[in-house]
Amino acid sequence: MGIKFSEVKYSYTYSKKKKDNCYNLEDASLQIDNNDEFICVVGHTGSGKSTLIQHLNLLLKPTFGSIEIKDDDFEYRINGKGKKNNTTLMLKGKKQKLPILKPLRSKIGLVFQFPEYQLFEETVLKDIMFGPKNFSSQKKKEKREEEAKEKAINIANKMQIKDLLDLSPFELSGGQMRRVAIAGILASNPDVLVLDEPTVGLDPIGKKELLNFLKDLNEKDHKTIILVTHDMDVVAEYAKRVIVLNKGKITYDGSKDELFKNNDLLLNNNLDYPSIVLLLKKLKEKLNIKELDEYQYNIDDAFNEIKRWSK
Amino acid sequence: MSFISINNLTFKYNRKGYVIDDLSLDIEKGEFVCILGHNGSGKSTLAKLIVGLLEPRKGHIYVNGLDINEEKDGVMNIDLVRKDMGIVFQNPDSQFVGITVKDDIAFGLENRRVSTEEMIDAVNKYSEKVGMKDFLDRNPEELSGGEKQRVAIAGILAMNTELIIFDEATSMLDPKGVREIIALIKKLKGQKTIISITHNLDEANFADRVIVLNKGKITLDGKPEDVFKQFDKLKEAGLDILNNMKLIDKINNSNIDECNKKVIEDALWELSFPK
Repeated sequence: MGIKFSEVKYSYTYSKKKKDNCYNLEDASLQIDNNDEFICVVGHTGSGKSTLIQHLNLLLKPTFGSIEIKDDDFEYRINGKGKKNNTTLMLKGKKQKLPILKPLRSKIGLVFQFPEYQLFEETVLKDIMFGPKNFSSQKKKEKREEEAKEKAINIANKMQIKDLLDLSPFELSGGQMRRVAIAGILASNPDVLVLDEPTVGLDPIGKKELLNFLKDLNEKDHKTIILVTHDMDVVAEYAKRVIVLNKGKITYDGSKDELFKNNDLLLNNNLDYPSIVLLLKKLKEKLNIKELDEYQYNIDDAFNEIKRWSK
Repeated sequence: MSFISINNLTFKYNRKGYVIDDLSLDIEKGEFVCILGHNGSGKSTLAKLIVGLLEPRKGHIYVNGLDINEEKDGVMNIDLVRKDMGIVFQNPDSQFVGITVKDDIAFGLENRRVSTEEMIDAVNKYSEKVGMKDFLDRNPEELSGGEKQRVAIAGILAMNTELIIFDEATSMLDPKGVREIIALIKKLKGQKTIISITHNLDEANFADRVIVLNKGKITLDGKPEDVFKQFDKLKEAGLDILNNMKLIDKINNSNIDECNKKVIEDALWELSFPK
């Protein structure tokens, strides 16, 4: 899977007649092509994070600029031309008359904020089956159902929600609902999973479980994870790459280490230090120790660094 | 009698296990109490019981000496004590009724038939207190999450209730919103009786008292510096532990020499609880 944004601009209210169009995303260029990326998208409320990620499965299309998304089977090209845009799709090397988005959306799964609000079926099983049923290439209804059911049960096993399958989604706790909603996206087996603030409202244990599950998906199943978050502790512990947005512009795209070590960059983008880094910074100051490296991103590393220093 | 006195409170939603299990608790006037617990530990249920949105199966809740689930001379006690209680909910979008910020702050006062002049005074005073005075004519829909919660708090302050309950009021906000609301709660400390249900350990850190709920029972109750030392019980309750406590725990169980151990542990401790 390869995704390439070239100077993408997006405006929710674009009009040719207006002199000053307000862009919610400006000149965004980026490339995502590794199979094992774990990207955190961070930025202030209103910085364009959600606008950016909705371009990834073409819920939004660029007002200007272009997007290319390639896979073994398909190749999409979208050129923004103001209010209109030009979308082409090549399926297995053949140009399609209609640039349908199903193939793309089954490969790039998007989990909205508070996905539990979107549960609607009678049972958890039916809810998880909804995605695979719609993306299925089977022509017969029974086959489609059968295939979707198998996929749903597989993912339920993996996410440890098998006991919930026969319940109504509305009987579940908040954390369980969240997991069921994410299972519904994963059931179609996308290569790229995009999640908009998936841990908001979960308790610390539920949060950790979900993030570790995503980490496993990334490391063991080589799925690309793109995570929108406000939580610098999540970035510190999980991100391999960080994209920072500020007022619709990408102001940083690189490693977390480089970001956290750049004080001005954090300050200019209204970002915090991860809590462990902040704690070690304070400890360093309090005990007046210069040799301690405060850039540790989990408790074990922080402990080892203190141990190393104290010897 | 304490301002809030809860005796042997029991509650369940359906045939499944007890959500609140024989719980007793006293809260004094002016106390700032944080209630911690994992999702499903019974925290929000307890809050709803205290404000009379739910009725207990067994046990009693007294507010200001009145059993809120009893009635006297045909008047429910809860109707008498409700004027002493305000609650800020988790979702900032689910508690707006007004078309403008000032309508919303005035809503409770209108229901109490307060005169227009008094209402205007109150709206001005409390919107200023929460830092939202410049937003009075705005539509609440246009505000950020933190701003919405501040408006909700102003509405409660205007009612001049003795008790304010925050039911995970910061958990849906961005970091800036969280900081705003916590700063505001800090400001109210000592002026009101506050019960805050939260996952935010930094907030719990400056409470007068921290209560940990697990399976509908109170498993820890004390000053934050005492409660946060109880690693085993916190873990058992499914709670996160402050980073410095985690480090202290690790250092304590390590082979670092005793002298260094003490210096580092004291320093880490003081970062959370300054002398």
